[in-house]
Amino acid sequence: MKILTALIKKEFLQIIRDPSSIIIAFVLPLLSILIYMYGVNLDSVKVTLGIKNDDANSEISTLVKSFGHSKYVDSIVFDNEQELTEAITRSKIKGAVIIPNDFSTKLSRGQSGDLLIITDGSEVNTANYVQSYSTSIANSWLNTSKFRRLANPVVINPELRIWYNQDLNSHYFILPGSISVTMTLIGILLTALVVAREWERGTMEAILSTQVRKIDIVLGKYIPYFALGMISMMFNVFLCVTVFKIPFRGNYLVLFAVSALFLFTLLGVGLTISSKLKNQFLASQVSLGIGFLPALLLSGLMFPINSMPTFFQYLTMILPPRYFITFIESEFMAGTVWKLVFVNAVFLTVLGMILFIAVYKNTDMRLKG
Amino acid sequence: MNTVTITNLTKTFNNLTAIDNLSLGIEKGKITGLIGADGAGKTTLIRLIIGLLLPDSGNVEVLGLNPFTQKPELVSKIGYMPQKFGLYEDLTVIENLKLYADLKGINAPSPLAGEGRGEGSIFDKMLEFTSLAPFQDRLAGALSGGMKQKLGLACTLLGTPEFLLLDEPSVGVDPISRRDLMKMVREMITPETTVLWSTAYLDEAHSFDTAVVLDRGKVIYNGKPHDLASTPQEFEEKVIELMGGYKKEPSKIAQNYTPIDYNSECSVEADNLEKKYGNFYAVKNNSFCIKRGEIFGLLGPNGAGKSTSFKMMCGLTKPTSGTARIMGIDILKNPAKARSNLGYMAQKFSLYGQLTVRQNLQFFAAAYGINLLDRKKRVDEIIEVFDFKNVQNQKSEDLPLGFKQRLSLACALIHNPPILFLDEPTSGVDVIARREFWNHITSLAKKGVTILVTTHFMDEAEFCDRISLFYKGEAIAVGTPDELKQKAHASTMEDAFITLIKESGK
Repeated sequence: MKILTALIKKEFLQIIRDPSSIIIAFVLPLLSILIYMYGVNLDSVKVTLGIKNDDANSEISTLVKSFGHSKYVDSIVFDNEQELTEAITRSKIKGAVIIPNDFSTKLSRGQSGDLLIITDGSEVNTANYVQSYSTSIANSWLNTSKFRRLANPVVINPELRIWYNQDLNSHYFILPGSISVTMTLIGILLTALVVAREWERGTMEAILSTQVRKIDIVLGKYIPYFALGMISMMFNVFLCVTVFKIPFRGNYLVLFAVSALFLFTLLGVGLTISSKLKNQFLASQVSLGIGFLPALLLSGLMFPINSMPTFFQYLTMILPPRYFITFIESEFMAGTVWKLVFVNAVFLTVLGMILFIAVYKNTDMRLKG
Repeated sequence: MNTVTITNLTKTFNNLTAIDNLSLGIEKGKITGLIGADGAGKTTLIRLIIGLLLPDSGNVEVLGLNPFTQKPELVSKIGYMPQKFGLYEDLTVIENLKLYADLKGINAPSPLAGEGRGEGSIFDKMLEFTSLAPFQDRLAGALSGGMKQKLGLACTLLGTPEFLLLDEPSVGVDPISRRDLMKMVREMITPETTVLWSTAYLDEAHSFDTAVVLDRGKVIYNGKPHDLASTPQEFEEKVIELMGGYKKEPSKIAQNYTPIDYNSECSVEADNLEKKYGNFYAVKNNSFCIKRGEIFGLLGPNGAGKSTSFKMMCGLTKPTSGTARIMGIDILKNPAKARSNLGYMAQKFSLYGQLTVRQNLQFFAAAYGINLLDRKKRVDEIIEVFDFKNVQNQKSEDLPLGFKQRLSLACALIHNPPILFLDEPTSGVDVIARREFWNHITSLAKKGVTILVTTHFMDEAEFCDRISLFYKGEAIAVGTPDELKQKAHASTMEDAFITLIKESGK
């Protein structure tokens, strides 16, 4: 016990003296939250459209006006097709609507009128917006114009209610989700370096010739970084809830309990990498590769898991952030859902235990040779 | 009685035999020196003895225990100081001591503490003993080499181990610190303590009770050093003989060197060089002039300002005032041109470990601006002259230290420079490799290469034409080795070094 206490104390002294671990634990969350807050926005945005009207009918000019009045669209009217093409090429406009000269003629004859919508396929998301905005503006214009008899009679009138996030504010789920990415990075990066560092500096060789036991070495690494990680987690939550006013509808006790399990698995990943590689540079590269990137891309934060290829869907099962993101998003937005908490907590515990055993097994008490 | 009994021990690393069917007994209560060339198996043997490595075959018994199965029991009885000292650089002196005391489970009053007093007094005694008391709150990483080594030893000595194993504790440390270390060990141990001390310094080994000479994983001598030779110098000769002998041959490297004509009185000139960090002078009005073909040695304790002077001389550090001139070219005004005349060999192995020998040479040939057409020819020539034929496609990090150091020299010489700067070129290198190295250096000097060198080996200082003795940032004596010895009324360079430093400290 005395040995373990001494090792923990030593580790804390090293944390305090080493600015890099403080930077990882506190500056990194701040930066990451700032980036997710102000840099990443998945909300629908106003798109700039070009409009070219070849139809001289005065009724059609109201269609052009309705584009101008839409709060989702900034419209610029073009008279010249060449200018329009150039504006798209130079990304001045994200798409264009061209009204052909026989548009009103066809409509008045009761035929369907062709409206040309051009979108920029190099930005798929925006292209989708252009398409749906233009279609819906054109349709609602049709309902109010004198051609309205052409419009389909409305049979079902959908009434939209959005639960958990009434304003569809993407920050409400991205920010809690970003906590899980940051925590992944912190948990793995903090620990990936520390065992490798002892091997590189030769202190491991000296420690191994004293009375330390394997469990002392393992716990001597887990405990201090667990404490640091939890403090960093609290800092993250503080930033989200207090500074950036993200609504929190769950229970803090549940939040931190599951976070503790999450951190436990992450430390396991970091320490396994570190004990195995014994080289700080390699360890940091590997931890970015298997920690940060999957947490960002495969955890369901950016891309929904059930739209991934089957192989990747199975792959996500072994990624701790996957479980944590599901949990933390619902904990923030919907409040505590016990069934969800339970399932994710069980998975995290199992992963954490497996990793703890892996760390223990990979902790060498002799030099390799 | 033996503390260690080794029978038919064999250990291989990837088909490379490090310990070859070795049998050895280490006597209790004696200091045994472990000597051998680089790669002879010294470190491997020590690690096997304390169970840090497992053997392929054979048995080891240490203090009646088997290190391979009973390591936990064994470690409480031994003190082991690895080559890098095993200190936590971001902990202070006292924090390191306390950590190791806890790790070694020292609770009970130790005999070291005098009249059975508590734990605190062990630390006091250790601090007093190592003269580290004034620095106890300093980070271990901020200590000089000599102080680190003392702290490392103090941590090792905690808990009064029955068996002390020191792996090359005196590498890269100045003669004064070396003597202090030896004194510390001798004072701290009891008559029952066994010490195994691996070293590259044969004068050190000569003063031990027993000397064990290792060569390619085998014991080639085991006996009293005095039986082999009565003086340290003779002992060195005998050990070299045992290790296969060194035959001085004309240096091919020097023969291959093409002298360069230039007109300037001083090849290398320091003009009132000064470097100040805050209020602290790392180097103070340092001036000297090295003539063409002269070997000029910078000597001094760790932290005296040798390396700082060196870095200023080749333009790696900007002096606070003063300047240096290389063949008359000011290093501050025209650094690139001045440096193109320099070959520089840094203190640590600073080549690319992942590259092969040939690739390193090719890189440095390019870096020193040898044009593409001549490059291959020059690299081939260097490989031939330095005998790198058989290792040219090996990764340089896998080479033995002696080879690495030769490769560093080869890279420094690739552009045929008229001036060579060598910063502790032989630190950690075995005696035969050192002899060979100095044969090349002295032969190069005869062909007109001007050489500035720093070293901690006093026998190497004898090869210098002139020496500048550095202490606390200032040159306290300049002259030929004989002049310095006369000045200090000393018979050896080491005694002269210690006397002059102590006198100036008063």
